[in-house]
Amino acid sequence: MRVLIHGIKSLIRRPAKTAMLFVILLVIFNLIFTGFIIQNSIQKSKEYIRSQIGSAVEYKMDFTSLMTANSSPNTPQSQETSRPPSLSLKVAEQIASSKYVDSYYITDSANVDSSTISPAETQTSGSNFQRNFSSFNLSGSNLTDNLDFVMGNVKLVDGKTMTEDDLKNGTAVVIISEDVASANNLTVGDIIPLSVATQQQPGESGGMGGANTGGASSDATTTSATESNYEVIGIYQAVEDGFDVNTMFTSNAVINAINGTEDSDDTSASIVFLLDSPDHVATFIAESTPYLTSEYHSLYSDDSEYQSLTKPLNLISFITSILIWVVFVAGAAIILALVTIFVRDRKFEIGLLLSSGEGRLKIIGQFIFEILVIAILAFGVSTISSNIISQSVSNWIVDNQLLSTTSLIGSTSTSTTELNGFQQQNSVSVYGSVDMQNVADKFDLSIDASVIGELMLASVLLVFIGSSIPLIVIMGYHPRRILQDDN
Amino acid sequence: MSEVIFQLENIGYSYIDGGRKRVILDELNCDFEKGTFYSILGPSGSGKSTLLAIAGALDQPEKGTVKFRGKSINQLGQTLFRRNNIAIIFQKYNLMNYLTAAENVEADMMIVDHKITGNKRELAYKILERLGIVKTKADRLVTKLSGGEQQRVAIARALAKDVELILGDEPTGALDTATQKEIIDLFKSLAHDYGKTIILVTHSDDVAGQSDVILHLSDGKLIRKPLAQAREPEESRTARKSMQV
Repeated sequence: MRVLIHGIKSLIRRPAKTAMLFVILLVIFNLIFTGFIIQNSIQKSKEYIRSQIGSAVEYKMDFTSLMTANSSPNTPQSQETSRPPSLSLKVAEQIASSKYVDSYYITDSANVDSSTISPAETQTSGSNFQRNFSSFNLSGSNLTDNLDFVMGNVKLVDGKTMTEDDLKNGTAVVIISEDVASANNLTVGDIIPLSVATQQQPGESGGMGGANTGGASSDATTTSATESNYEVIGIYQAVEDGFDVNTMFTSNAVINAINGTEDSDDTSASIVFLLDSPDHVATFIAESTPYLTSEYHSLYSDDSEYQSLTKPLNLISFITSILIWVVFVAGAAIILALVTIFVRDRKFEIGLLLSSGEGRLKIIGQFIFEILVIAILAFGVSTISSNIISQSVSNWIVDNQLLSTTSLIGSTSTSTTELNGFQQQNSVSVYGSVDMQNVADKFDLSIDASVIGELMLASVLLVFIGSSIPLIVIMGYHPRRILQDDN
Repeated sequence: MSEVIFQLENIGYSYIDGGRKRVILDELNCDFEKGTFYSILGPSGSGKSTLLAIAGALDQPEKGTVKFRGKSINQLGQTLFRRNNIAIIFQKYNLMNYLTAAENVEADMMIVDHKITGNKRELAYKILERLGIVKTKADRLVTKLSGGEQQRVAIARALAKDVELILGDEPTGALDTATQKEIIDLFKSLAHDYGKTIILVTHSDDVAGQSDVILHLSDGKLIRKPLAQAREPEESRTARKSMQV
């Protein structure tokens, strides 16, 4: 009780000293807090960019390395460079066993036509490379939800998605777009015939898996088609701009039956691993790369875009952390000097209390209490004022750093299918777009509980380091020397 | 014979001065009785303040034991002994300058472990009033009081602790004659009426002359003598020195 009463009286009745310590703590706290708040905001912006880019990692052919190897005169032409090994499903499974993988998607595809339904008109119709000779793209999945559903590129508006049984048995079911449904007056439960076009030598016949196999012929000179009936189990709506609405979703088992690759380990599918956190991308790639069986296979994520977008933020973060440390050390030194002066100034009071039998820890406790009261006041004011200071600094960061990096990124995962000698591509958007205007808008300087916690920790640490040494000196004070020798 | 409550047994203390060991207290023995007013006289540098510091557990003797009520103060705990069994009055630096006179007196009541009955502030006013500090002055910061008034507040602090043993290092040195007399009368009253043991280190013959027992510190030992005899050796030495000159 004495400690508290005398602590408060000492603060009130020595206003000059109280004000001096308050102002110094206020300045130090403001500088450190501003740094902390900016760093925290930068961290949040980086997390936002990372989350927008996503936590997808692709297992794919490294065409860049392959092309470089093929074009380099120093690289001897080999079987591997002329026709590199396909991606392996077993390798994909091995990689998927990583603790960082939440789920992994194998998206295979096939191009199909139909004798009774026509493709929907889209802006990309006619110019789409993917379907330069077919009407529809069948996109298969190893899971009940196709990756496009998971990534939010499309959403189910009617019916249902596939079941585990559909995946396992290769049931002839499809989910079509509302555009195709509307163009052909289709509803859930309708049966549609689809045929796969195969290049055929004279006298050769093509086949495909399906519920009811019928026969139909297409181009007389190069292709023929075999139709199978598929049940429409769901209708989706395209959410992503430019999404090919003539895509139909089914299971990989159906695609394998069409392509005749049921028992093959080799695959040309798009294989995407979705990790538990964007933060684990680099570690996951590093840990999983040894599983790859060819130097022309790679595990890819859009880390380079992340690095380039966060470069200016990293620079500011670096400068801010230097500022924090310099102010922290200088601040601790100033507090140390100030508290030392205050303790020396009150030497006789300490001697008097010691001679009266007051415990040393209680005397130190009174000093700590006084410093803490001032520090708490300075902390409260600083959290408000540093937020205002940070706001003006953030305006500069937003105007000069974030908005000058106007990159808009967004890329796709691509599977390559070889059909009739043509490279066909099946693209699924797995990396989000990052609009720096959004990042600038999200450059949030608001102080939440975690930031206040960090600031409080920094303040306590600063005050503790600054005041511990002079207060420990009290432990060594000898009351006789103070009170008698100086008499 | 009164009860002995405080004992100095075989106390030894020395320090090195210019490479030579200087013995200040040498096998010093003394018993102090309850309800007695003692004064300790001695020339400058004889070790009076050191003796008081050892008695007040502000310093440790090299040898010997300080006992309170038959128990070594090391056993009692020096801090606890200072807190609960003694009060020390110094000549200077007696007060906390950011507190009022009454708050200074109240502070010691807050430190002691034994319960002080009644309202502490009212008790502080009463003690101060008894020492001539009226309430209006008692509510002033001690820095606003005169030197004499500050010393009275310091004495009031010692009284406020309500302990059996009061030690004073020239406590009346800064007071005028009239006030000095009042304070000495108060000490006498505390000893005789309230059973306190008062031990004062002083240079003043007037103060020593009013104490019950005069102890002379000479050659590291305490010798019990009447005032005239206690002064004699010092005066004789001074006279001899004058004659030699």
